[in-house]
Amino acid sequence: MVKLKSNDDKEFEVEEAAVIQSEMIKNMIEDGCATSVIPLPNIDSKTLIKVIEYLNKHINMGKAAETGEEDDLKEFDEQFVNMGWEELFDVIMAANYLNIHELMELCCQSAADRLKNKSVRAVREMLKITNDLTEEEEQEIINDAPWAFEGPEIDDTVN
Amino acid sequence: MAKKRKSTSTNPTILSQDITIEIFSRLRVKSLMRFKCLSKFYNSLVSESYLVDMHQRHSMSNHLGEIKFFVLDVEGFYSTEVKKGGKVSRCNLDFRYDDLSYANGRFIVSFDLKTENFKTITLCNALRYQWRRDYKLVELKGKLAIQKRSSKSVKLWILGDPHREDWKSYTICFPPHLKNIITYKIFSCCDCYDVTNNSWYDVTKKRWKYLKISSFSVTDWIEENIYTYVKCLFPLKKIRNVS
Repeated sequence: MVKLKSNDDKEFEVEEAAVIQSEMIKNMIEDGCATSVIPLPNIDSKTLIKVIEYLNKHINMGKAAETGEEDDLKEFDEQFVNMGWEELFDVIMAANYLNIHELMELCCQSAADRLKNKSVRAVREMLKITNDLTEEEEQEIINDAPWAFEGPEIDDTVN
Repeated sequence: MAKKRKSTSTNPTILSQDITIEIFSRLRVKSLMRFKCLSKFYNSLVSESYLVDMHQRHSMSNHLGEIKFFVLDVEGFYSTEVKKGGKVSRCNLDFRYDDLSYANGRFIVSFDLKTENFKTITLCNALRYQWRRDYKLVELKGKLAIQKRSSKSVKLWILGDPHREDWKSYTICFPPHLKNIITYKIFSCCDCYDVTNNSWYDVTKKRWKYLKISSFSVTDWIEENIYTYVKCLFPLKKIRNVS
């Protein structure tokens, strides 16, 4: 078992087989730096619980494909990313920090799916972007590809 | 009159640049072109070569390791997906091409779907007036290329910059065991001599790779080729501006 500590001082025990899906922790274990508790100063307990849930479910990825549990895993993944926007960002940042490739793929794809049909105004709000383009610059970009700004799928809501 | 806003070159979002690129490289071209309008940072990000490169990879392989191919049979093109466990699914596309490309010996004529304009790209001297049916136009890491296959190698002419029309030529030799197989064409450097055993050349790593597709359910309708499937050629603008 490997012990992980979140930035709000909560400790979690995870099986080594599960936790080594994180390249970062795998390297620490190989270098013999994981003998006691591993502190994770960038991750809060709420996010860490989600990440551990994912790691535990994906522990036998290779076996799942052989035994036909692949669909189960797909369903789990779909359910897993069904979370709030802010929460998704926290998991993405944790996955990036811990270097968990598959989790990163899954969450970034989910973020992209949520953003793809959004209007410029909605994305600015969702990503907290301050617009620093002048109106002329903005118009130039629109004139360059007016088709990108038209279409029934474009969604101005923020969620 | 438009107001001048304060300009900044730093990433003003809540996400780091790496993560932003990870997410944005999974968007389709239409979304990316629209999101150039978000801010100065995003305007330059969308044009950056690293993002373009990642976007290429993601549009070629769907997330979580699924690979898409175009397969040609006598009726037209089909799209085929290979998933992690080697399962293959197939869906029909409602269009048909007889040939992907055509050139008159001096120019490549391209048609831009978005602007509905024809453009021409001049061929390099070595290729001029020698165009034959076995010269194929291919897309290689976002660049346009022409390839010609001989029994021992593939000759490639890659168009570096469409504005300056500079073509560079490369020769890729087949590995020994492939040298006897001369009947099949190569598309996008993907060589298919048996639909379940494929070899292709990885231009980045400069070596041949092999892919075995297991449990391929239908075999009789496949004529001879497997195509790599690219959702879009990116960036569109570069090709459009060639005169």
